[in-house]
Amino acid sequence: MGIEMDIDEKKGKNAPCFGPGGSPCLRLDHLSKSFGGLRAVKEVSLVVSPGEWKAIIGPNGAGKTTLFNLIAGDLIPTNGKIVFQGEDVTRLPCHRRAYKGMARTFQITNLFFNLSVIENLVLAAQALERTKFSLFRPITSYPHLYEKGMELLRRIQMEKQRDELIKNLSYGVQRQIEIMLALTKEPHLLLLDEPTAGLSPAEAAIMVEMLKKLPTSITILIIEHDMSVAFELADSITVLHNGEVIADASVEEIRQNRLVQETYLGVK
Amino acid sequence: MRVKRVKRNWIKIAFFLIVFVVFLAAPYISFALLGSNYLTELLTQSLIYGIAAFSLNLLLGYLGLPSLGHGVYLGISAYTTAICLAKFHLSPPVASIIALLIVIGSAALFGPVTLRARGVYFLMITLALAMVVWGLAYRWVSLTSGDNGISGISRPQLGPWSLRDISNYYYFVLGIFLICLFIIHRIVRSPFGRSLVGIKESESRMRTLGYNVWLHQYLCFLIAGFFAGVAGVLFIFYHGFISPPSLELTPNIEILLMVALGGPGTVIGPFIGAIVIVFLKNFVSAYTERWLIILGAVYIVTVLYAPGGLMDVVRLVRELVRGEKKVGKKAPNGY
Amino acid sequence: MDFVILQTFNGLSYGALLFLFASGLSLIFGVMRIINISHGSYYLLAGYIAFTLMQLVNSYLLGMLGASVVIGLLAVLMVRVFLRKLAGNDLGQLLITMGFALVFQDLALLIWGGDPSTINVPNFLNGPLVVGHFYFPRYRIFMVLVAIFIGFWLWFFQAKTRVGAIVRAAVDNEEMACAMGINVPVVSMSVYALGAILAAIGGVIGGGFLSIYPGLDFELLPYAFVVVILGGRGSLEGAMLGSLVVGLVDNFGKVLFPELSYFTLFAPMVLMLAIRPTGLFGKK
Repeated sequence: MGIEMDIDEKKGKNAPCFGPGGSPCLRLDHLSKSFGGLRAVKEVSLVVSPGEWKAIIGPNGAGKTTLFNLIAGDLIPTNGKIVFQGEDVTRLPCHRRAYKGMARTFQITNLFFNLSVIENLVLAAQALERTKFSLFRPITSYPHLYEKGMELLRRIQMEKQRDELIKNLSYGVQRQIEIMLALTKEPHLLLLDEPTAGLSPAEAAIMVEMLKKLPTSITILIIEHDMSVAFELADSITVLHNGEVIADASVEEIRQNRLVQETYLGVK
Repeated sequence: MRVKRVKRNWIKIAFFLIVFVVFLAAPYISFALLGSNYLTELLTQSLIYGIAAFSLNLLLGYLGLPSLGHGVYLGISAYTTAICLAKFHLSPPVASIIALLIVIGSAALFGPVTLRARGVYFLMITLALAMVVWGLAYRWVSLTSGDNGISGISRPQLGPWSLRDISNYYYFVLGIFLICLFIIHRIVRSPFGRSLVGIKESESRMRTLGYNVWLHQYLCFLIAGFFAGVAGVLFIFYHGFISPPSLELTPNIEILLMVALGGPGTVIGPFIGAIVIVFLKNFVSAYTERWLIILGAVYIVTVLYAPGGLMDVVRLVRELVRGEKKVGKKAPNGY
Repeated sequence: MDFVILQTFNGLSYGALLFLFASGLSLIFGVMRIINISHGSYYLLAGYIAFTLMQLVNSYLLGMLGASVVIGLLAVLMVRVFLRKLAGNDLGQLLITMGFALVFQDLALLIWGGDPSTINVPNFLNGPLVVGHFYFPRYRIFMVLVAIFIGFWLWFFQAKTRVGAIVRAAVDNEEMACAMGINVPVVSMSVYALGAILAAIGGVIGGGFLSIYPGLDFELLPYAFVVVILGGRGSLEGAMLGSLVVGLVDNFGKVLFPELSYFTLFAPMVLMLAIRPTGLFGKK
């Protein structure tokens, strides 16, 4: 449910996320992950269409972050398949998935705290380029990296803070930069892990406004704990409980789903 | 204040000028002040260890991997050069090149093993590997002459200059040092160098962004090994002699302290650490045998009161003098 | 076959000594997340102290007791005065133990000189135990028995007592343990002291077998490191198994391939790192 970005943004190369023959952006096929005896994710199957914004909700311990880690490549599944843009990436190393067009944010802010804002963004900007192996020219001699970083900072009106150290910034701002970092390489699929985690209601509202402005050409998978945020941002919702999918439908249908209401919303 | 800034610049310029002159004219100053080559010898040692410290700094200061076995590369390089010269009678340039190749090969071999570990485990592995090499140096008598070590390595002729003259060798080492310093300075400011810092900050973040973290670490490992190898070649030609004790734990600790004392993660810090340690060691040894207690005490004091090393102390002093302190500013847009 | 039995026995007894040394290191690593570089120093100093004590009072037991007490106090001092100041800074704490290792090594050299000292062992432990046509040195048997006894006691303490459960909790999840009211700094300090005392006992026992000499502290560290890498951080069973493996492999290695020396340590370590970096029983 995103508002179209202004013309400038549309000029970016945000290609829609799909596979050959129009296959979906992301398809999970009976995905399972067990840790010893604990089955964190049980036979999860779902499909994300290009341009779709899907929220994954569920109570604590439902397996949401584990699912994300599987999709992003931080964990290897015990069973099942992950097909991204028509390609089987189940065992593809984490960094190679970035090359395919995946980006993610972390629930616990994962930035380079002792570096400045612009340095964070520059590292993100060069991540998929051969530049990152350059040994002899100073990084400042690659202005396109800094321009990319500044462009992202302008979107959240933070150009003046470019040289601030991340650790000196407030938590809310850090969460915003966390997302900007993921957007640097114009991903096809953006995985947002509880972007409003730890934010006050006012801060969360600002975050939601920012998220709404993301281009609809980016497919988004978002884990959310806050139901209202999920309903406001998403086109469709998947409900996870004990590692299993108990509902997967459009926002409207989920709103009226009795099972969801009982298990998650606690309605009798 | 314009006046203050000009005055500060003058102090800075004067300081660097003095340092420059001292290093450039060391042999002459040595004779003028002390009537001997003592200062020249100390500075030569400092430069050699400086290069070794630079190389460890890449691993420890920039990548964040604490290696307790970095001296092993210096040792491998020194031993290889010595063996090539003494046992196979190769020429110094050829011996040096072979030594560098062998060191890079060793780093290439050790890398995959050690890089499976992080933090303290990395420290243990690097030490264990260093001990393995020490053991080889000690036991493989046919190659390394075991406990006796290899001696009688003399410095060659470089064009019209005989490097046997310590003044000449000093300038040779100084030249190599400056080249290494320049290269490392470039590497550290390069995109690759910055990626190392990113990895130290957050490996997971780098991975998610698309960096092949292992590859970057491995390359850094190789580069660090190379520079340690350079130091090793200079080392053997300086001392003319190498034996197993050079590969023991204590020299490794000394190099680690040079980096920690000088300032890990800074370009010139490790060299300052090297100078301090070399000079301290030589002065202390003139009066007492208790060098290790002093080294240990310096270690303890550094870790407790100057964790960022001397460079950090310098920075703090400068900030105090300027009367300013960096305070973090909060973003103004509603948070 | 004789050769195998004899060498196995030798490896076993060496492994026993190593267990005393490495178990303390592993425990400290488990609860404080640092590798105590001073661990070798505790072994060394204990040996020297016992040696000196026994010159005054000719009692092996008193020598061991005295050394253990002194080392225990020294360890407590190190934690309270120095290590606590760097709480949370793992690398810093490690570097400080390194600094102290240097100081201790030189102090030992200053006080006891450079010649090796051998601790006099009670007579009934000297000489061989004759089994068939084998001559097993009694002292080595003693070492194995002590290691088994201490190993059992440590296991019992850890697995069956309430205090042991507290220690295990602190190793497993420091934050949780703290939240549950466990005084983690006190637990850390106690475990550190316990580890030091284990090293001390090892030093006294080893002193009758290997003799005490300068440099021994640093020589033992790599072996202990391999044990910790093989067995896993903070794991008692891991330390037992690791010590056994290292003792046997090193012994057979030295006898069969003397030129390769430390290389024989290298192989199991590399294998473990390649297959299972956290060791056999290690916690993350």
